[in-house]
Amino acid sequence: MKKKLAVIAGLALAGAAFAQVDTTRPMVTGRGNVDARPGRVIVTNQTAQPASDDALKLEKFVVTGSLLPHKAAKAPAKK
Amino acid sequence: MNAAEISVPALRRPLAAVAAALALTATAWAGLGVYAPGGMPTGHTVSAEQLWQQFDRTLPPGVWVSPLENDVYEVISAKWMRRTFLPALKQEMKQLWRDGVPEENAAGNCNGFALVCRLMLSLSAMEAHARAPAAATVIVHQAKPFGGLSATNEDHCVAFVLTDEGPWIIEVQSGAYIRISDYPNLPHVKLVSVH
Repeated sequence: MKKKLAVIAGLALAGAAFAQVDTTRPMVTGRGNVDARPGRVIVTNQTAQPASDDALKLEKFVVTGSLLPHKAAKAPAKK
Repeated sequence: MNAAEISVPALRRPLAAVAAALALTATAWAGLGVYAPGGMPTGHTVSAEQLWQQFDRTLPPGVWVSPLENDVYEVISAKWMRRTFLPALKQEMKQLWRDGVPEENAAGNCNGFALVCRLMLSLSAMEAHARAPAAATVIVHQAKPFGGLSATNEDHCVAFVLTDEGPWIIEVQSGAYIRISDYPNLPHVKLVSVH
């Protein structure tokens, strides 16, 4: 009886997992949608770069998408 | 000067013109052509969700599957595949071999041939006004021999086709096919691209 219940529960869970998949987005077998797992990143940039242990520092303007690499300097005072 | 001597140069001019025209035509049509067989049976379809379930059920865990951009896909008749499509595919591959197309790290590699197979299938489906074929390109690590290709231990490209007898893997370069459950390199499938 317990086995039957486990099988039924398993099938129900599998059905629920199928229902949750958005087929218009990339998927991974056994897991579902890739972007439903934000912790997993697909590396698309295969350019060889020297290894670095330094943590990447993001500046405020880089993060917000501004083209300014640094804070804008104050405009000169009007004469 | 007899009649024969007069007629030869007179004949040569039109013959030369015809030969030149044929040469020009041959130059203009020197590209490669693909023949797609007709008569694809239609009407047996699966939804995108059902196609995903096929992949999820039959492939090992961790295989990347591309988005499915259509709502419905055509399931291909296994009988038509055996009797009509695969013989045409073999002919196409023989022609590409005669044309000296196969080449490493070039358009004429395993990936290019898998795309030719899918193009033929798509053209057949278009001719039949069918849904998009339930087919895909599969990248796999060729750890074991299949379809005439030895165990190269390199990445290889084959075709996936969902038939009414179940999913098949096709080695497009030889036209060999097998049920996916019996495919010797099934544990080494890496990526499935439907579009």
